Amino acid sequence: MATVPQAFIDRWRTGHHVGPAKPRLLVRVQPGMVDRHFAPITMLDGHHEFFGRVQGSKHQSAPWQGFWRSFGPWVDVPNVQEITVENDLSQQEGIGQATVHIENIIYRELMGTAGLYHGVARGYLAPWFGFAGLGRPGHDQPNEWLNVLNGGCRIKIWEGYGDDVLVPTFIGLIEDTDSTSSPDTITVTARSFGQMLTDQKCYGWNKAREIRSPIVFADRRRADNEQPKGVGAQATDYQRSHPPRNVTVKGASYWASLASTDPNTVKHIQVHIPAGHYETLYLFPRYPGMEAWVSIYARKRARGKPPLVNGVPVTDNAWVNIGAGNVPTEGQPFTNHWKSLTNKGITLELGCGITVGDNTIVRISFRKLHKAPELGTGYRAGASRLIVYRRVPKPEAKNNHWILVDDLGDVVKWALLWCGFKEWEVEPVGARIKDNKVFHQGDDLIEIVKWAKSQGAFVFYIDAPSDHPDSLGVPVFRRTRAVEQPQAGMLEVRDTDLITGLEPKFSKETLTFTNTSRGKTASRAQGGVTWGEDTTKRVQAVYFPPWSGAHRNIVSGQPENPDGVFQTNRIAGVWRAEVHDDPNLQDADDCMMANILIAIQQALAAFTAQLEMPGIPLPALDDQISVIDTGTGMNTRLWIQGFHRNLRQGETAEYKVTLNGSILDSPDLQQIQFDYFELVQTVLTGE
Amino acid sequence: MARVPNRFTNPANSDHYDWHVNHDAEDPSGKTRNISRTANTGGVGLVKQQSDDGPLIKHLSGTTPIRAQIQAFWQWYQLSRDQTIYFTDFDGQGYEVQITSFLPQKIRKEPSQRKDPSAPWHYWKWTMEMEIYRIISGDEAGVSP
Repeated sequence: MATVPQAFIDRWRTGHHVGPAKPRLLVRVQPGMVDRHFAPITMLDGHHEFFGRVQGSKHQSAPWQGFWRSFGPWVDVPNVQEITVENDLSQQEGIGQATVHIENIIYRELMGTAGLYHGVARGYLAPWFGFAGLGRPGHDQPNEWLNVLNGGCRIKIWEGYGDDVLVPTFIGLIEDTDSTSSPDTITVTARSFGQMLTDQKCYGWNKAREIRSPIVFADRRRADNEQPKGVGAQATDYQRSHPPRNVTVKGASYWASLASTDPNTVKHIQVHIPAGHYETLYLFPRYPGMEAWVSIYARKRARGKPPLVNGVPVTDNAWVNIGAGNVPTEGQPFTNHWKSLTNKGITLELGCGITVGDNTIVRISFRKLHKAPELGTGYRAGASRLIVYRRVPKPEAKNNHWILVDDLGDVVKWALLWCGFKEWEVEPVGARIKDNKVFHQGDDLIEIVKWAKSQGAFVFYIDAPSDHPDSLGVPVFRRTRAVEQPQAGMLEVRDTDLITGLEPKFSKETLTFTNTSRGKTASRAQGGVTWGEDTTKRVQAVYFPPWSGAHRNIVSGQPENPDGVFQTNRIAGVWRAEVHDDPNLQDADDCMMANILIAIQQALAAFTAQLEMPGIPLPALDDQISVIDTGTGMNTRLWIQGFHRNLRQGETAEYKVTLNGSILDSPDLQQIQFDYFELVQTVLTGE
Repeated sequence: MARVPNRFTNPANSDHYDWHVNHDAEDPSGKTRNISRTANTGGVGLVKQQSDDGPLIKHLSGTTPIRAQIQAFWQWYQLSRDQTIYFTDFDGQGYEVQITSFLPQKIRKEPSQRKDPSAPWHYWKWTMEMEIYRIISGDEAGVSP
């Protein structure tokens, strides 16, 4: 969202919204439409994004995308009495809407023989004003507001304390227009541009035009066949009994360098690869603990075309330089670096995707050499295998125009691109798509986002527009901040800032005694267990949330101290059980993590609160706010799930916001957070 | 000193009407600054939010035995439906206004007071309300209506 200036916050904090700091609003409309074309992906801030490709498409560098096309300039809407802006993560799916009440009477400036005066025009802003169908008697003359406030326009709202600190808080498309007479008013309802996701199907020009339905999202690596390549191995030097060619012959011995007295001597081995596209290599270091760099000497492709790095042409017959740095001692640029390798075979990233010509060289340089007593004294480098995988697209991926991505979260970016967004806050999921995901022509584009959300504790919503004049609102897709530590710069409110106290509510409706997650089928030896009538052995974990009164330590499984401050007993032994089946859960740790994530959702739904304070477009959804309210004894962070903001002008002005959300600083959620981070630590350390 | 009549002027074509009889009285009129005050939960001070100032409205009242004056008032009230007009009072205070209320009342009169042969049995008491859109001249010059 746009930056809320400190002056805005300072004025809000004073509670004295009078004089130059009195509540103000501004509403503008602009006719236009979301159009579509092929174009390079250029974001609003000018940078170019790359988040996958449509396999077999001729438009890789200029994919199909939406964009806003204006049919005219922004026009101020006069006589706005009141605006309401609201959004909610659950009820509105984060899309957001606004309502604008307009007094439908204009006092037009006219010049008469005696001077300036004003003509009273009732209904002047009505979108039907002056229109007469065929055969209908003429009534009034149409004006510049004909067909403006009844669709085909985007509407933008600014709010502030004073005309000098107005902040854009909403932008969207007009949905409904209701008119009344005596008093003459118009009420316009608009929804954010997120409606491009909820109201459009995965069909036709709504998605990449060259793709026929259905849309298939696939992991980029799995959509290619991999061919191991590498010949003509060479090295800095080699022990005579262990030549470089051994790394390219499966089952052969290994390459070993000549001995050095200094373990920090740099030695390398390199192979030549044929023309093609490469992204990964397989290396089997002979010795543990070596530091390594990969460098690529790129040759031109067929018909003199230059080699490509991430799709961008680079100089041929030169080392590829992506700005990562230079290999010590040897001096050539590298594309990837590993501080310490084990002596086991491993697939490594080249650090970039290269499309090169025949006889391109891939070099691995080693440092932190190892002693090899079997070969004598001194320090050596060595490797048993070095091959580079050439990637060849699978025929079905190309024929069916699969959309290939590296991160599961990239599917959200594709959906947003098709809807016309050129800025977003999309956090990588950190996981690849396991099985191809198909969306049919009957699916709304929002289903793509929902599927990505379902892969973890993610949220999605359309935030207020940014400061950029072409902003359509900022889609946000990220891990929920509900489980994060207190955020820096979090808004803090106290009794003096609140109009109504924090109204906490507790409901045990969602609280269960146990959360059980069952994953993939597994034998008893692999941890598979049956569960009641379900006699299929599956990996499983059971979690006793803090409110059960029977909480157990995540690691040891032993009952926790029942008198501990974070142990509560809220459901008095009512044994409600939550059972979650997901064959994608691979082991007990996956199952326990799923249990904890479910418990987090249960806690967020059980402990809720609402407050009202003078209007301010902060915090945004999924943010945290610190609240200290003496009257209710609450001292907690509130995680924002929804807001309702109202600004009324005229003789009875009012600017207020109601926030509703979940209480984060409860003993239950604190214990769940401990469990969450303890489980993460356990998995990371392998203990 | 010569009598100065109140005057209505149609700015569109400069037509004007000089009142037969000026008004008798004017209710207090001025501006009101609207500020809402809401208690915060801390019970310390108030949250104040300022609205737009109230409108500037003239409330006039008078009497007239002249039917033509009542008829003229009705015509200017009707004209006000679609446009603003100018009102200049005897004191030189000039405003761009819209007549928002005109309430005449017939009062029975004695035969000795029969100035208008067309209205032998009664005269009129009236009240009028005008909302001011612009101050053209006078004591309130510079104030936003």
